[in-house]
Amino acid sequence: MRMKTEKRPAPIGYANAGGLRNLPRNLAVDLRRNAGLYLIMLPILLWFLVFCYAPMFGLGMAFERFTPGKGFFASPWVGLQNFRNFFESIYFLRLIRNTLVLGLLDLAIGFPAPILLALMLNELRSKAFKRTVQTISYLPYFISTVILCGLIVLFVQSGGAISNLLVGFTGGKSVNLLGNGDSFRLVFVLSGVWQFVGYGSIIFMAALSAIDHEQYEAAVIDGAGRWKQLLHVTLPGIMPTVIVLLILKMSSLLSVASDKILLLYSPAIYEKADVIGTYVYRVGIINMDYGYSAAVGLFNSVVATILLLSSNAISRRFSESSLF
Amino acid sequence: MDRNHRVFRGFSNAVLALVSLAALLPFWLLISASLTEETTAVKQGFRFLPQVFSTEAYRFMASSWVLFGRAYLISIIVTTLGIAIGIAVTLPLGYVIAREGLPGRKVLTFLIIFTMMFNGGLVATYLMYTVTFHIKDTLWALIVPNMVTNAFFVIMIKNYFQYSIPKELFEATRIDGASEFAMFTRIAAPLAKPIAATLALMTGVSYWNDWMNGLYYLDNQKLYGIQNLLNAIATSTRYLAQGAGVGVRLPTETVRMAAAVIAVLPIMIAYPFFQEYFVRGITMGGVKE
Repeated sequence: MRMKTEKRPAPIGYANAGGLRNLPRNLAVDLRRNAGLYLIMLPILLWFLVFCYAPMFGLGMAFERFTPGKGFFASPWVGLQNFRNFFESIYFLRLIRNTLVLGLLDLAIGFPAPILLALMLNELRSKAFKRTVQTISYLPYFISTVILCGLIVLFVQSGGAISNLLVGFTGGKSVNLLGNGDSFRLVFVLSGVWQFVGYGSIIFMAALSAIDHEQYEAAVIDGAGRWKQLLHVTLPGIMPTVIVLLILKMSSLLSVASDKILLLYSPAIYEKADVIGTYVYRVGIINMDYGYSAAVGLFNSVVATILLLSSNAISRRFSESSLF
Repeated sequence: MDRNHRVFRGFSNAVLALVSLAALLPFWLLISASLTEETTAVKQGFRFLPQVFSTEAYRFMASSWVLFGRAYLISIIVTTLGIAIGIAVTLPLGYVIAREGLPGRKVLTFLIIFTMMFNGGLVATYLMYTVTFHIKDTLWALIVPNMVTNAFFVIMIKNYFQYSIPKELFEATRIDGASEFAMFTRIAAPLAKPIAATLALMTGVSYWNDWMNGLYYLDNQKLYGIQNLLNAIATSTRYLAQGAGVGVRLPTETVRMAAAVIAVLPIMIAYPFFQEYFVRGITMGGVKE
């Protein structure tokens, strides 16, 4: 077996070993051998460099009093002034609080919901019912944010179906649920669950179907009923997937769907509905305060990256699953 | 004996039925609303069955067809171009970084995944597009910014080439003396048709549904796609008046609903056919290296 692989010409990769000493020679061989591959990729790599990495350097404007007229290189350097202004403004705590509240609410409700849905679907005996529920529950994912928000307004404005339904429980008058900061938060998070629960369950369904059937058979021989099987075979079976997705979710804790908030909030509830993303849009794009809003955005990105790296590290420490 | 499980199953069935109902009802109300007579709608709100049936909203849209037709056409053009460019960009990239043994492959993969986690943020990106590339108020504004955000697609394609196509195939072709370019166009690309379909659909949906780029980069409302048009008529009551003749009654409320129905229609119609491709794509993108 070994002999056979050695006889084959090495498909790609370095021709000669020899470490750093041989690097120039190896590089030359590699470029000659794989020139085609690199050529195919080159335009796209350039694309990524220009459109993804160039703006990262543009983040330097967070340390400048940036004006487009002077441009990136000539605008005066102000150090951490933009950051200081942000940390000292009333917006700092408010935005962090609002972003975290929405992010955590979504984590608490929006993360387990697709898992539960997948587990329930998995227990269904009737294939037809299962397929129908799946098809229907994925549907909301595919509608646009604009239409979603139109629907939300339709349901929760005063006189809307959900507002009226609430009156049935709590009494009082049918009110616009988006007019109040607290109910806005609930509407925002629950509508997110409505949109993503089905779509989110797909990945867990895949994990469920990947569980080895012999494990179930072994459990049956050991006398486990369906409930015990669920607890001791199914749940451990999907745990790696759950953990990886939890890491992803944790890392996006700060990136709440600000485009949805832009469509739903109003100045009256900024105090509870304004988040970093919407603030950056208002200050950066509308008011054109570029340096300052870049600083706010950079702060957000850095915290998000720290969140991702630390949740990944924690997960790697306590379980075998991690993203990288 | 297994009472817990029976309870769980009964509970599941009820919940699943409710979930399905909840997923469908909003669409039902939307359609019903679009077919309600305007004055009744304004006075009594929308019901799940129109109190007074009327096709006025649709007739109004037909009469100001320039406004709606233009936006629709722009959405179609942008979506088509977006799909074409998306495939042309993502397929080769995924192919290359799927080739085991290629020096620098890990670095390249990292460079791409890194863009999923960290980016220049709204302001730096916005300035680059508007100041350096001048895409403000051009159709490119609706196409270009969407193309780079999807490292997920690259990983999906990479996984497909890596796990679903036998490596021996490439090796054999290489020994036969095919160039890399020929290998990609004659072998890899045709074999990737199923995942390319998935990619096309995912890209298509995201282009069709996009409204943020229109918000950021378009001041000229004539370039609005269907989503931005919807947003415009939802936020400004005067917006509709520009397409209508003088003295024509504006069924503002119901037209909003009817326009949303028209915007969501292509997806609703195509959805049953493309659903499976989506499921495959998500499963593929989720495979770990």
